Amino acid sequence: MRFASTFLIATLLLLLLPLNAAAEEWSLEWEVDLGEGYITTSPVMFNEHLFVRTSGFWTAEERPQVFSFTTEGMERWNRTSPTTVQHDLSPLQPVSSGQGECGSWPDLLLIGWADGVIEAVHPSNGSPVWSATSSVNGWGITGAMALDEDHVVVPTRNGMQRHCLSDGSLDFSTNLSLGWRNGVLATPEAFWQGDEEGRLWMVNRNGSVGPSVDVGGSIRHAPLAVGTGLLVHVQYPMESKIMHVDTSTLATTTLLTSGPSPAIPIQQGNLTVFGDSKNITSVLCQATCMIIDQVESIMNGEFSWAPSSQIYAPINTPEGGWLVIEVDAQGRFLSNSTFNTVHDGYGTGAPAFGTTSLFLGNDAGWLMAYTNSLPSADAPGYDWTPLLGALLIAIFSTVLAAITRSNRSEWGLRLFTIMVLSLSLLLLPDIAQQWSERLPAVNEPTVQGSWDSSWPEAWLGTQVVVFDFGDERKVTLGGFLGHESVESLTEAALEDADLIAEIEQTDLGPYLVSIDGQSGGGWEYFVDGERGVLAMDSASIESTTILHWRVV
Amino acid sequence: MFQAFGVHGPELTPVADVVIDVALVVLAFAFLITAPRSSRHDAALLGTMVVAVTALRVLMQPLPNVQPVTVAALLMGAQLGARRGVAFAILVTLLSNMLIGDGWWTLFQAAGWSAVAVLGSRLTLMNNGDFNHGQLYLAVIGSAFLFDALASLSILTPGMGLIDFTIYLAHGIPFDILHALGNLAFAVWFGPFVHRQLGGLESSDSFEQSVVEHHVING
Repeated sequence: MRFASTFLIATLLLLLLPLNAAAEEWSLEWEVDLGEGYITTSPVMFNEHLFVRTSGFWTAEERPQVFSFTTEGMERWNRTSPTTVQHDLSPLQPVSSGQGECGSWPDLLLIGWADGVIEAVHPSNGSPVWSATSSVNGWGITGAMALDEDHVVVPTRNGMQRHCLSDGSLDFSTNLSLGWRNGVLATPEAFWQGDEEGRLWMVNRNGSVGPSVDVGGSIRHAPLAVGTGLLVHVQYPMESKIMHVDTSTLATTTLLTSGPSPAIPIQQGNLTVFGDSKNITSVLCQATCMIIDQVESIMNGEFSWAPSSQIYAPINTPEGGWLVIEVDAQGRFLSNSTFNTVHDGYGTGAPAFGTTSLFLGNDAGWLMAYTNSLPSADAPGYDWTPLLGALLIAIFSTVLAAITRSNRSEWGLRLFTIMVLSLSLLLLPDIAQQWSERLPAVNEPTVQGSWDSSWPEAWLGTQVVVFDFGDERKVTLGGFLGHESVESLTEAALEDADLIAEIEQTDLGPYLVSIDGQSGGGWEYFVDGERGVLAMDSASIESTTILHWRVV
Repeated sequence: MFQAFGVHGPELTPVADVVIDVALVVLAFAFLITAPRSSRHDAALLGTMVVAVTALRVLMQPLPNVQPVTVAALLMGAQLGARRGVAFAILVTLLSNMLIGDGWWTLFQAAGWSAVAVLGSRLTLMNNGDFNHGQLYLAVIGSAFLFDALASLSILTPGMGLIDFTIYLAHGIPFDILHALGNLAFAVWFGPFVHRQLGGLESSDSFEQSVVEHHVING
């Protein structure tokens, strides 16, 4: 009887594995109330961390902030602007590290404030890299910036400015006219920006003002480039118009007249999706631009594309939620549904997406993280290890049941302990990693965890490596960019320093045995002063990091 | 003597290393000498156990925190008493660390396994010559956490507070659990075997009892 029941349970467990894996369910992972302000702009995922800004208050003690969170909901840093005014609507702009003619830069998060300040901060800790100012007339920056090779073009209150990403130095500042939420479009030929008076401006790449066209109304988003020209969604008092602008002749064509208060359109290839207080509309531009599909909704904010060809649109009503529309490559809306949360209400921010998560913010200031049990479409192939493990458990359980049935309980216990120990050894690397990631790191006061004033300034904002041989000999290298793991950065530093290392592969991952022939009891690492608790290939690092290797 | 602070505390100069090793050897022999006398056969058997467990520890080193010495120290303490158990723990630690890495941590590992041997001598693991299995299994699980906590003291450095040390211990909990599971497997598989092997050796308690009985009977 016991044999049969054990076998039955083991078989059932085995069958349940794939069934469980196939279920799709969004579930709330964590939520945090960011206080009095709105989350008006979409959260941003960058380097597997979340960034979000609050807005909408400037009269009391509270002030708008930019926050960084881990994907587990732990706040990493926050940055407050004590002087900002009005609504902070400018989307956060992440920038990957790089180099160009005006210099090199680490990973950056660019923040445009309503008091006209442009800040570049380290995404890892929120510390400033550079900052610049722009004109204020009631408010300053409210639109989306555009990256332009080694520069960023910022839509200011009354025009646009171009800054070097390396140090923020001003390339040009051009006066146009007053704008609001008017993002800038950078193309290889010119820059384009609209204003509150309905004029669409072209600015040459040297900053001089080019021709412009008056479309009436207000242009409150960055123009969108299509093969045949530009698309703009122009706001009028009681309606809006989706217009095509021929960039060579500046001739305008109205594609559609729709509801008022246009959203910020989103583009993917030839397909552009617009929103307003009446409809969400798809436009496909090939030889000409054509309206493809429409769905009724009140959408005045930002869209985002989900990895699974769906667009998410915040519904700006008291009931709120996010409209999820499945779109095909031709712009047809195949289906739509509403994604609801417990804090639904007015909202204009679209979700940010992680590998299996989405992060939502709304006007009530709630930031929420949802996870999906279904693997993403670009996930690697099916991992057979759990199934194999389940098979082994089933076989062992069967053997144990047989032994127990024959009253040889001593051998049953022996096999059981071996099975549990073997499984534990197999699972230990993953469990230890997951466990350690959820715990705070251990600080080590005797290692280099912060900037050393004797280091060259060129290393500021980059990745620095210290090889500490323990006998007063230290090899320090800096200026590394873009490494995402301790292993990658270590290998690069070893190569630069001409040091030969012996790395041993163990069950827990690669282990640094010796550097330059010095082994001691092995080598250990610290990231920004915190003891490394993962194998070096599993330990991720920020764009600004001090990695300290020390002989044991 | 201390050069710098490493992962297991100070990095020792070669002289300091030797001093600590010699001190441990002296301590081990002090415990053996002060323990009740034993025959050559007993001494040889104890020596064999030291070598065998040392070899087993070195062989099992690739498996993270699977420590056969813990169960052996517990059983030695239970069977032979605290002094010989502690001497066994120190000698195994010294010998095995000579092969897999000696340093400041040797002191704390020796202390940890000695504490386990003392724990074994204080528990009633034997009942009329048989194992008290339930208590043995609980003891091997508990001794894993006891040893790991004591051995972890080696990482304490100046400036490391109680909170940081607690966080450090917390990071090691999965490894502590694995140590406990390894101990359980060793106890289930080899407990009876080790017990039989040590059957020829008299425990301090039984030796003292036999001396008393001898005097009483002859008296």
